[in-house]
Amino acid sequence: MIGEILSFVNIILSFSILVVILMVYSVYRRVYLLWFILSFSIVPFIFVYSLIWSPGSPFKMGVVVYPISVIIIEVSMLIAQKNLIESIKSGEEEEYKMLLRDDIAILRAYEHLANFFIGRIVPLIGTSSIKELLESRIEKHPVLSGSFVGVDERLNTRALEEIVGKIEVEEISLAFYELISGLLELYSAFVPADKAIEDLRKATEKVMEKNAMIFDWIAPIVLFKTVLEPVLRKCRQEDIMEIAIMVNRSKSGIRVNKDGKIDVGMLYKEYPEKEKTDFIIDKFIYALNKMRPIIQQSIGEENANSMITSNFRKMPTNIKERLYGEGLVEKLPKGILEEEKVTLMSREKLIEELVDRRKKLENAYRELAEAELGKMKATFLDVVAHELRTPLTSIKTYVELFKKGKLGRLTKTQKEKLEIMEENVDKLTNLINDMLQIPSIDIKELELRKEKFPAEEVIGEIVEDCSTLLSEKSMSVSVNIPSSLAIQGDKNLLGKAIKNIIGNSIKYTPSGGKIKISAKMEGDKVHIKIKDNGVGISEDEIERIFDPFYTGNEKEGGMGLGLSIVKNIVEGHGGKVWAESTVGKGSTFHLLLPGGKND
Amino acid sequence: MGRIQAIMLLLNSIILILAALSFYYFSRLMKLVKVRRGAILATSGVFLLTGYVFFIMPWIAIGGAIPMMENFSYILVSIAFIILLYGVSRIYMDWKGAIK
Repeated sequence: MIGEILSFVNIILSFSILVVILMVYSVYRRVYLLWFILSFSIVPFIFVYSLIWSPGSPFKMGVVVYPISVIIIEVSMLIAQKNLIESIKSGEEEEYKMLLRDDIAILRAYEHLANFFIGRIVPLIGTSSIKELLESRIEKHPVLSGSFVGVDERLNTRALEEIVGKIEVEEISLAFYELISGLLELYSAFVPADKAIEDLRKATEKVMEKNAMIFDWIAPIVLFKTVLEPVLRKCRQEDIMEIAIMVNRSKSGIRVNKDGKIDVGMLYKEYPEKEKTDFIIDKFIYALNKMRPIIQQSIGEENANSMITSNFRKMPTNIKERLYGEGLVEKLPKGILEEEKVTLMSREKLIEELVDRRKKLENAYRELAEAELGKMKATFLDVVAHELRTPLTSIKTYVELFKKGKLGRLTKTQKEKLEIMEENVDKLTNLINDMLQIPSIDIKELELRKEKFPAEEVIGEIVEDCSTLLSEKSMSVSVNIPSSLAIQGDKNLLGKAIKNIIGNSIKYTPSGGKIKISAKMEGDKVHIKIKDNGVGISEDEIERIFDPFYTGNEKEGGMGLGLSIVKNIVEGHGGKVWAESTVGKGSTFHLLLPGGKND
Repeated sequence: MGRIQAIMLLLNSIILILAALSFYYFSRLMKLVKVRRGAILATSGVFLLTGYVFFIMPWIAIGGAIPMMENFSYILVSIAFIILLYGVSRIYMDWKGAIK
């Protein structure tokens, strides 16, 4: 009874094991798993058989079913294991990447790298030099003992696999680094240095494809030998010597020889337990920053940056992606891999940069559109004003002829109407003249008319001109301008600009108001302030008052050209005009004009 | 020695040779793979083999079964299966992770 219960338990357990193996097979379909499934599918039947057949049965030979079943199970297991070992050993199978132990994977990767160069050297000089090199390296690094170049002319490190678990990866890496460096040097003796470096890139890319575990160990070779070394070789001999002395004394962990060759062997001795990639990147950046000033001095800054950038871009893609992903690009000095820096920015930074660039682009478009519009406006005004002025001149002439009686006698009423007509023609002519001031002032022409004149004198004259208007509105004006101040520019144009502002102040200040005019030197500019206690300008209007045809207060009439003419004249002189205002309290106009002291 | 005993001796000799061969492959495999559940599988294997020996020994020695020994062998096999079930489950989890 106990035997039957136990058999039943074993049936359930063996079925459960079979189910788990089937689950493994469902995610990872491989032939060797089928052999495992076959062997375990037999087990439950053995226990089912034990329930059917008993030792007391007349058919005694039935017991042989047990050993025969076990033999079948063992054979299936053997086949499965053999299959699995072969899959792991073959570099072409997925198992190589997924299941192979890290230290063995690294060892095999080094073997592949060495064999890549051996495959290229053998057709050139045979195997004897390679064997000599290997022997010398074995002498220096006994860890390589047991490695040999076989009849297939390939390096074999299977003996090393047996003891790999007992040796530090750093030790293996240093030994293989020296072997591979020797092979690279041997190869470089027969092919151009650039070709050797190009082949090193290809070899490391292939090795990384087979097993990415090697990354931390081949990254220094790729960085220093394929990025920096080709640039060093382009430097002048004396500069290489200078770099060598400086780098070899530093804590860079690398050595540079007189030919510009870089030895990274020391780095393997200093490798940290964790964060190896950060360590490599930091060492590389340190060395690069040390060497760069001398490299730049030797081959030119632009040339050095472009060569280093180009070598970075030529790096094997799988290694480049890992290094970039670990933040190498961000740490590189200015001028190297600039495009990649923008591309690899963090999402937030990238968005910030894009928003900033978009704003700049929008501003540029707006400025362009405004400039185009301004130009069109100016051309339009120019054409219209000229077209209007011609008939007006003709009308004015005829009006004068009529008035003088040269075209016949006129009645009193006719004369009165002619007076009104002449007044309106004059108004229209003045308006057109104003319109003609809006288009940009020709700077070259302005240069010819520039002169230095006392600010006090010009402003005094303007105030004098406006005295009738001022007395009509019972307004007072106070002028506070040092006599030593002089303005540099076209006296007539600037006088017109100042007059326009004062006229504006009078216009928008109620009767009995006050206007204060003051000026002082600010650097090489004269700062003129015209302050009134008029109606003021609202905040949303103040930005637009200098636009042509903008009329804030319809009641006062006018075409809205006065302030735009002021702006045009002042800016044409390289000056600046702006206004500050509070509604109900008054406005202050500021003019910043080129000037100096009176001679 | 009876006929059954002779046959059993012969078949079990083959089993032992195959077991040794299997152990050799198993140790080679464990040296290569990073998914290391070798100790669990080996323990399970030892229990299985011991259980089998207890089951088969009476047949080789006296040409028949001893119920006590047979029950004991079943217990050993059950222990082996429990260990093995744990082992393959862990391997399944590990491989699933490795494959991802």
